[in-house]
Amino acid sequence: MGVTCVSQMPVAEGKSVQQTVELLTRKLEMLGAEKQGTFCVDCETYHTAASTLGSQGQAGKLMYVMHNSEYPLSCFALFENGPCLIADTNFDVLMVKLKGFFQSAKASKIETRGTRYQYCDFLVKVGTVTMGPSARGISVEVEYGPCVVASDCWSLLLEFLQSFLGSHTPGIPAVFGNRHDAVYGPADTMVQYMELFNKIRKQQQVPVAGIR
Amino acid sequence: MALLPHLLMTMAHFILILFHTIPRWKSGEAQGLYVLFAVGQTQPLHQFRVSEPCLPSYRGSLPRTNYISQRPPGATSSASAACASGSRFGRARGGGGDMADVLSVGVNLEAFAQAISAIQALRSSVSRVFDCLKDGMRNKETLEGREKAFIAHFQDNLHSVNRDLNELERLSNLVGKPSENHPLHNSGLLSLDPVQDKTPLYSQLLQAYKWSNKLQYHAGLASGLLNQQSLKRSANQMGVSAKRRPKAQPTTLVLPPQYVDDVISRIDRMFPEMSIHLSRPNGTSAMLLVTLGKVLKVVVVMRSLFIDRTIVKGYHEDVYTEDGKLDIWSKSNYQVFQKVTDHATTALLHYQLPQMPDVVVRSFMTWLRSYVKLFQAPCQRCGKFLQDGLPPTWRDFRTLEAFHDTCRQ
Repeated sequence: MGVTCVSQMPVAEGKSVQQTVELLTRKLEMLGAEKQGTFCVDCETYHTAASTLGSQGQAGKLMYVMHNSEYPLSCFALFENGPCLIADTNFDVLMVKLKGFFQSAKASKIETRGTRYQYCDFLVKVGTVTMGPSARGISVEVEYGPCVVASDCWSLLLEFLQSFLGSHTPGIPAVFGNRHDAVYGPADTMVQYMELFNKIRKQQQVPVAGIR
Repeated sequence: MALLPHLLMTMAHFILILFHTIPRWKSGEAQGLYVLFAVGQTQPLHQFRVSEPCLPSYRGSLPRTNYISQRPPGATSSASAACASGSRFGRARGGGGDMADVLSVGVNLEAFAQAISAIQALRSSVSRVFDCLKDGMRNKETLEGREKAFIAHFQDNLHSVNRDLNELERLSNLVGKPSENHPLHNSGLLSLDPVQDKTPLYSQLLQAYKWSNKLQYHAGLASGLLNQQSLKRSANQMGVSAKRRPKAQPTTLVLPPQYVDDVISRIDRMFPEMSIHLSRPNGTSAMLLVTLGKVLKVVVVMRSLFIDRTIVKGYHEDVYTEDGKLDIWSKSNYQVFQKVTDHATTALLHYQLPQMPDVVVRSFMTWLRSYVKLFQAPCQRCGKFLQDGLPPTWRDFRTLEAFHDTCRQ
């Protein structure tokens, strides 16, 4: 597990999501990246059940349960700004049992699917973010395998991102700055995906014409 | 009898020149080239060069070369007489006696003079052939007679060309090759250059030659010495010299383990960002697991205080095999660490000092420590982080600066 940066690629003007993804993958292939199968990251949102809310009137916290095809035997449960729990995939069954405390939000499932590319020690995953039946945006994940400290290799990652994202290169992810010198872990990647999904969900509320 | 007045005129002419120039030689004004003409002819009979006030040594035939070496070293140069084809061979520096010896070995000047006149003969006979062709047939009574005479004339001319050519060929074997035995080959002719009095090119050349000879000799000695402690550290690779193996065993290979432990622990304390774990899973040979910051891990296999093998892996890669031993065979999954492994192996061969193996280990570790900034240091040449997807993996052995593999030179 190396250092990973997850970012959103805006849809090119006058193009569909699918066309923009193709444009991006073609660029990667020209760079010399090799296709290595597919990937999928999904996320489901849970509310705290109304019955468990205290009388203080506090707002219910949202909990996100996520899966990542890179870690097929694990399940990630995260609170916003909160702790991240890494559990076995059985955790899904447990959530059904915990219905009384956490309730699944209706039609909240959001996921990104796409192709996985390898270029030297870099792993690039370009995915289409879908919510229900519709495509909402594009996610780009770049992982640099050999390094384990995020702050060490950010400039290196940035240079690589610039090589194929051009002007859409993202800024430094928030998780990179949180813990200086700490070993980067899978949970940090999931936090980034969670933030990306939340951002895309919010975008969806604003009526955007011509995305598709 | 008709020749007599002609000869007399020539003699008179020659005496006239001598008469005119002798007083000026004494005053040192009569330097230059003197050319003697026979009256009524355009070809010079003789010419000689005068560069300092002394009498020209005129001889009927060409001077033999060894007369040059017979001259006292004090006479820096002299006038010399030579035939019209050039006066270069009759001249040498007074101080360069060895040079003259060299010349006299290879060159037969007598043969040279003959060869030159043979060339002249050949040229004139060839031009006679062309003349004959140019003139065409002479007027005779019958056409047949005309042709016959022309062909006979032409044949005669061709025969004389053939004869002259054969003569020249015979002479060319006598001449020999002047540059063959010469240590400096053609550059030896530099000493014959009259301008040489002003430019000390030739003496400098000799000096340089002497130096380069000396250098070669010393280099030979040094390589002999160095070969005793070559990069082939394993006795098995010595091949031919394997018979002498027991004697050649360096004493540094039988250091007590305690000493090795001491050296390693001293190095461990020297670098705070580097931790070294020493183990001896197979007898006395030590194995080190070096962890450098949170960047990489290095497995180092030692033989006494010599480093035999290094494997560089990622910080989060497994360096142990399934049964819990250090994995000294498998390479890293990442290209960047495979590259660093290659460079570390190069460094092992670079840092060599058989008399002081502890210094070698320390230098190697100092070099290895520079990889703590493997992902943070841009290339010192191109200023970029990535080239072909790899960060600057090379570290200079002296300056420890970061370079891409292709950027280092």
